[in-house]
Amino acid sequence: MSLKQPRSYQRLAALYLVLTVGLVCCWFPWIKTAQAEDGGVQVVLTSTPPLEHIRPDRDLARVTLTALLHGQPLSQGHMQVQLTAPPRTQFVATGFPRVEGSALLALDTALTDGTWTVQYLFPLRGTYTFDVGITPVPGGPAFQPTRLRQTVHISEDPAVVRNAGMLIGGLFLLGGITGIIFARSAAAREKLWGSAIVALLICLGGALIPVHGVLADSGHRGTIVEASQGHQVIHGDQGWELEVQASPIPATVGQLVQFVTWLRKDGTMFPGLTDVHIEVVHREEAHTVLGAHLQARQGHTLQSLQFYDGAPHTVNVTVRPVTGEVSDVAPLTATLGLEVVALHPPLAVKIRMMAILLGVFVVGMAGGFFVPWPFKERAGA
Amino acid sequence: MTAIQQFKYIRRQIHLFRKHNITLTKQAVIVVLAVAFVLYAVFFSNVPPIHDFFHGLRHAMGILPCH
Repeated sequence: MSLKQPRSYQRLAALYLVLTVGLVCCWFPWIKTAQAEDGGVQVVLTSTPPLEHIRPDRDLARVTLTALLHGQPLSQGHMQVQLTAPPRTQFVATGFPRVEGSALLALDTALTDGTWTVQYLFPLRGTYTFDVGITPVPGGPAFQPTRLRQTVHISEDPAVVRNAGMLIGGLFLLGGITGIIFARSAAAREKLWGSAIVALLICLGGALIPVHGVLADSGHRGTIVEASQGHQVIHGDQGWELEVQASPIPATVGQLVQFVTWLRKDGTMFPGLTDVHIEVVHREEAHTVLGAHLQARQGHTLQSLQFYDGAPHTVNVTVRPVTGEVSDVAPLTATLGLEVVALHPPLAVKIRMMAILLGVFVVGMAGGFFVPWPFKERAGA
Repeated sequence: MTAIQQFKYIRRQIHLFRKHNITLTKQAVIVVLAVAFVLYAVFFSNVPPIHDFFHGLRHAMGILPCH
């Protein structure tokens, strides 16, 4: 009896365990499906080229968000999209530490065919978050307002990975050579130590020659100061008027800039459906950073976006009324020139990366010093 | 050369050697500091002309914080 009782408890415990696992396995997918069905609206994210092939800060991605209601594209609704940059890195930094974890885009548009497309240059590697809010509009299909989150992962550019590997490898090699020189100088110190140190310092000093040349020069992009133009009013034919206001000016890396547009007809706000096209061009590198086509229920919109590079940008805002008899009105385009203030990287990030790079050099130096090397013995002998 | 002159010469040479000789630890510290200086100037300096000159290089590495 005393032997059988523990065995029965073991069987009972095993039975409970199996039942619990079975219950969770059946219950969890059911709950997930039920959540999707209760919300009614789903969002499908597609990209051209595919997201796994996109290189950050190099390839302009064409991202399409499709809102589906019961599996069919949502005929009418309102969509708010916020794009958030990948979270802060804990070990190896990225080129844009001020951008990490910050909001990149906050756009909203009216949906007329269930899809919304944005062209965007993703700045850095990591996992981006699309927070999508979809709400019904009067006259459209009825559903519960829904907030969904989609994440996309952008891998690092293979060429950049190769460059980083070369940097790390080069530092390790330099450290190794230094260690070997030290080992030799320890063996024959009276002859070699002076020349070895001097030779190494000359090599390192050579790297600073271009720095000195740059310091003596002037007129680089950091010294170019242009007045930012954050407000413009365009007067069109037949009493049409477009006003675009950006704030705050100048823009700052890591912070959103709001763009407010007003489309007026004879001094009053246009009440109908309005097409808004926003194009952001990096002026120095002459490439498009953002291209977004939006629709507004009236002639007033508010969109926000972040400039992640501290360089002058041009923002073209093209607005056109699309409702009824005014659909043949020529589009109005306002062009804003914005200066973007780049903030220095956080000191902690710089110290962390300096420690990593110096650590690689020191490890290489230790390796070079302690590695058994044939000529060490010869030099010592 | 007399013995005294030879003795003085050798003593002077030993003095010069001791004066200019630095230990291995000091050599290593000097080199590490020199490397740290160059690395900071090229990859982390905020001075606008230096930053702008190496801007492309920093972004090409992908692991260096630029802004």
